[in-house]
Amino acid sequence: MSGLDRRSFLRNVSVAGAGVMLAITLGGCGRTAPPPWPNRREGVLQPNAFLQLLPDGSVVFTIAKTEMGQGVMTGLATLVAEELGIDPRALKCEFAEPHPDYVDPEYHSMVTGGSNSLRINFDTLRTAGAALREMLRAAAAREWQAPLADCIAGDGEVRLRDGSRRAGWGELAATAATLEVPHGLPLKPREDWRLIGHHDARVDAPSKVDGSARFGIDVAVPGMLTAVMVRCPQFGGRLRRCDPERTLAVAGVRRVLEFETAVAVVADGYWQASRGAGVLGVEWDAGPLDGVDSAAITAAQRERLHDEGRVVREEGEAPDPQRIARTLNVEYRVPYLAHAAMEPLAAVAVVGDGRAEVWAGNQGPDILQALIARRLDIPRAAVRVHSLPAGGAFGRRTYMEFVLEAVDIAAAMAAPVKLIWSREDDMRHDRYRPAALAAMRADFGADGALLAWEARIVCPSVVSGMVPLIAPLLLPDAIPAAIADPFEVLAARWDPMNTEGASGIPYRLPRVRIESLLYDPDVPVGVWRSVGNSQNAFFSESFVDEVAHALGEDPLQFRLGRLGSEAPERRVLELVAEKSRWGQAPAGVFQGVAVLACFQTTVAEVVEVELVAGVPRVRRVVCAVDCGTVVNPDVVRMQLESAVVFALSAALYGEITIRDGAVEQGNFDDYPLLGIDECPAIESHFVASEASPTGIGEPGVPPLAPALANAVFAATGRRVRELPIMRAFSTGNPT
Amino acid sequence: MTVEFVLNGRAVRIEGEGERPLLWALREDLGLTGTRFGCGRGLCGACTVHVDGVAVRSCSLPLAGVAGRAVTTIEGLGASVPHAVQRAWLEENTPQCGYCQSGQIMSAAALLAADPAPDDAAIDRAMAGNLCRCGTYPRIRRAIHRAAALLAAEAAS
Repeated sequence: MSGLDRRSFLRNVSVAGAGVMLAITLGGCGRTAPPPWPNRREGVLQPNAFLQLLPDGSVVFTIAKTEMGQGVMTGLATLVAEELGIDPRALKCEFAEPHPDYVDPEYHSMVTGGSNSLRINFDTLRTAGAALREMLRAAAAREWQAPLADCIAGDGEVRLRDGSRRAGWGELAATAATLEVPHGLPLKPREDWRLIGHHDARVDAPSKVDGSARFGIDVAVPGMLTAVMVRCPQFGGRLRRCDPERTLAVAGVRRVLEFETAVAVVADGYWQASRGAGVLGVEWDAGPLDGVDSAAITAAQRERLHDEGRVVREEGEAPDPQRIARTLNVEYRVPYLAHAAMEPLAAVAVVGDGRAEVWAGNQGPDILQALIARRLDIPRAAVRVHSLPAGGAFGRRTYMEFVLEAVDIAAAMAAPVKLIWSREDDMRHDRYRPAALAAMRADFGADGALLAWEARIVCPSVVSGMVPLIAPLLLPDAIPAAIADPFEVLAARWDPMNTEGASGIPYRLPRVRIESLLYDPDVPVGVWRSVGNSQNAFFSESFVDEVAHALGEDPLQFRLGRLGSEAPERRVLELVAEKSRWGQAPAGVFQGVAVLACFQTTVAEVVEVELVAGVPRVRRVVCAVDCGTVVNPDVVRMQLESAVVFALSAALYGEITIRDGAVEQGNFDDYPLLGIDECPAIESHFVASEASPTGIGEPGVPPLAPALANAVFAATGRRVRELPIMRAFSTGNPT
Repeated sequence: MTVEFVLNGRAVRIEGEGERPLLWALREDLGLTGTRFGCGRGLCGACTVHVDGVAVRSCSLPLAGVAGRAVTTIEGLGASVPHAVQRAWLEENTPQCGYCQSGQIMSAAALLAADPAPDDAAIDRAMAGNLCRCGTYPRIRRAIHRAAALLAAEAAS
């Protein structure tokens, strides 16, 4: 067995990501050794960044991704536990503090997003588990003077094959610690898997049913004060004048702090701070969106269609205009959407003596560390970031300004501070799923044949908003992050998210043209579960339905007839058709179908609606997914159920509107979420696969809205081209 | 003012303003963070507790309103042995992010105390005010039916 140090171990397992490889190689040259692993306990056996064997034989598993409901703790723990031969629930799971060894090789940061956690960790974490297992077996072989092959590890012990000796892992830890960390280990073959493909119980469930789970909002440190913010309602507006007198008179209020775009009220508790905020005298200077409303934004988006955008995809010759007998030319539109996670944004910060320490549910701890270091002009090593399970995120916690606000307030107070956003703050100061507009066009010949397909999509860039997050992390501290500002423009210009979900249309068509037209009205936008796919699949897969009906074809057969025999869309469509009994719905039940491949996973959904007093009601959703190897079958089902409910809330009701440069909605009364009483039956079916696992947190979202709109068309003959759907069915709002 | 009440079976006394919502006394004064803040207006149900056995929204209930009454939070529901609802919740693999689940479980336990065998319509009525952004509703429904069966089996044995 040849030994390698831990940097080499990582070189061995980091198969992708040039940036990480570069960093590791430089480290290996001995210029600067990486800092010690931040989660490391004293006196433990730690073969790699992820696992520590404690003297009592238990294993600490450090998780470098955010648990925000998607089940990543369970999924990653399953990979480690498979090789260790233990129950995943026996691992002591904790979240990683920033360190280069936890960097995601695709994102060059510790960001959780893009549904890649299982995919990128599939080999890495199994290898990490195998390394510890092999060290324990080797330790037993040495202590017992026995052949390695006779030392069998599992269930927290190593035993001799003949049963004559056994030792707990804790007993072997001291000997194992003297051994070199092995590499090049074979992983368990698929046929020996006992957990992957079988283990269902979530490791975090017990703490979430007895109330002991601790989220960012639950953290308390001694001497902590609580702050709320009074924010300028208009995007881009600034504080003109603040009169704190009445606020300071409220019992329990300690201080009022003025910032550029908000005022902080710091008090003994949330209710005291809230009451103080409610009586604050404040005037704002209206921002650049003064007078702007949703109708003006829509009008400007339409105007943008007169321009030429960026052609993302163009295949086939444009048809001779003489041949075009008929054209379907329609507009689709979606509104801004809020993330509305159940846990309002909250963070605890302690700042002083050239150091900072924060606690928050966040989707990028190393980005947060770099942002805080720059904000306070202190080294990154002086900033500790504690990540907690997030009470939902859906992309929102990629943007961590709420933690910086807590840092600012804690610095000003010279005391520990917990900042809590109200639900209204969360609703009105989100980074929204963009409002977008699409001009969809199909040309038909005199013989009825489809000649051309075109999508022109007007949307702001979401990718450009990642630059101010990633640049402060990747640039050395001495270089101002503003140097990266020009990349925001470049990133916008090449943003693939603007058209993702439409640009990859998989059907064989004689002519395809997809065009991206940027339009940014300066309403803050961000990544929202499945990102561009969420709106573009609605445009594209609804329009497929329109074209199929225009050709007099069954929408499912239209798709199947234009997919290659090996297309992943074909497999999930065939499966969903079988499981939903496509075309055989009972009387009064109407079906719609849609499919999309994203995050390397393909999902097809059939939505069934019935009409109740003329209003569509969703009774069942059948999902078929190809996500490669299914690591935790029930967690995958949960994610599909979750995606369906999340997308159904959005498709039926979700709408953030702008009035005079500010968001009109504020709480769950005017931004309703689906309740249990409206939740349909949801079925999930898997395409059998031995490929590596791919994403599951997001891909269930995009097909829902088009499948629903297609079912509504089947039920009512009414083509809904604008979300939310219930706008078309509410009284006094006929379209 | 001083408000005295019974919390999870023990007498407690809170000093402070009587109009302050129970939620914040639980979370900030008593350190019982299992009861969650979600909306502040009784619209989401994340803060649900029992007052004299009835599910109420603690974010909108003034502290003075619980004087002399018995309050149960998620920490008290299964303090000695997990409540049937909590066991059923685990068996159905219900929680995702978990943030709303305390409130869901408290609402479900109150429902089952009042109606030991609720049908789907009764579940809809009792649970519609408890929002879950992760979409655990199908499992919540199954877990409530399962908990009803567990409780019936316990009662029979």
